[in-house]
Amino acid sequence: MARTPRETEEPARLPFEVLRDFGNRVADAYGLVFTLPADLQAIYTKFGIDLAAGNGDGTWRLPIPARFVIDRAGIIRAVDADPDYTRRPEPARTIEVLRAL
Amino acid sequence: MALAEILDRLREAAKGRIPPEARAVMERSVEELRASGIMQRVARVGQTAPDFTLPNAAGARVSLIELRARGPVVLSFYRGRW
Repeated sequence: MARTPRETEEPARLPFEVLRDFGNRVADAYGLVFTLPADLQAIYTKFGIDLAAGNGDGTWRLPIPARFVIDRAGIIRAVDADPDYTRRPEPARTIEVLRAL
Repeated sequence: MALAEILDRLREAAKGRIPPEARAVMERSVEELRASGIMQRVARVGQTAPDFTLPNAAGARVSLIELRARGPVVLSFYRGRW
C-alpha cells in the first residue's frame, strides 16, 4: 500500500492483487491505523523518510502489519497482527488456516 | 527457514546501523503503541470482514466481494519500503 516506483512495477509479475489503500481508509475499517508519535516522526525525518509525502495525504499514519484470512462468506477466520512492525505473520500458519477452509 | 528466524537476523543486523538514541525512541514507540490498546480495536475472528473496493497497480478497481467469490482471501496490510 506504499507507492514507490519500484513497488508499482512489481505487481504485474505477482500472482495476487496489490491494492492501494489511499488515506489508510480500509486499514482504518480493520482497526489497524495509528499515528506515529512526534519524536519518531523527527527521527524518520532525519533518516530522510517523509511519510506524510509518501502517504500522499499529509498524515503520519500507518497500519500495524496484519494478515486476515476471510472465507467465501466474508467471515474473518484468522487474524495475525502485531504492533511491532519487525514481527510479521508466519506464512506457514496462514497456509494451515487456508487448508482447513 | 521460518520467516520469524529471518526477521530475527534482520532485527539484530539493524541494531548495528541505527544510532542508540534513535533506536530507543523506535523501541519505545512500539511499546507505547502496544500499551495504547490498538489490538483491542483490530477486527476479530468471527466478524464480517469490512468490504472494500480499491485500485490495483493497473488502476482497475478490485472489491473484496469479487475476490472472495473466487475463494478464501488472504488480506495483508503492510507498510511501505522507504
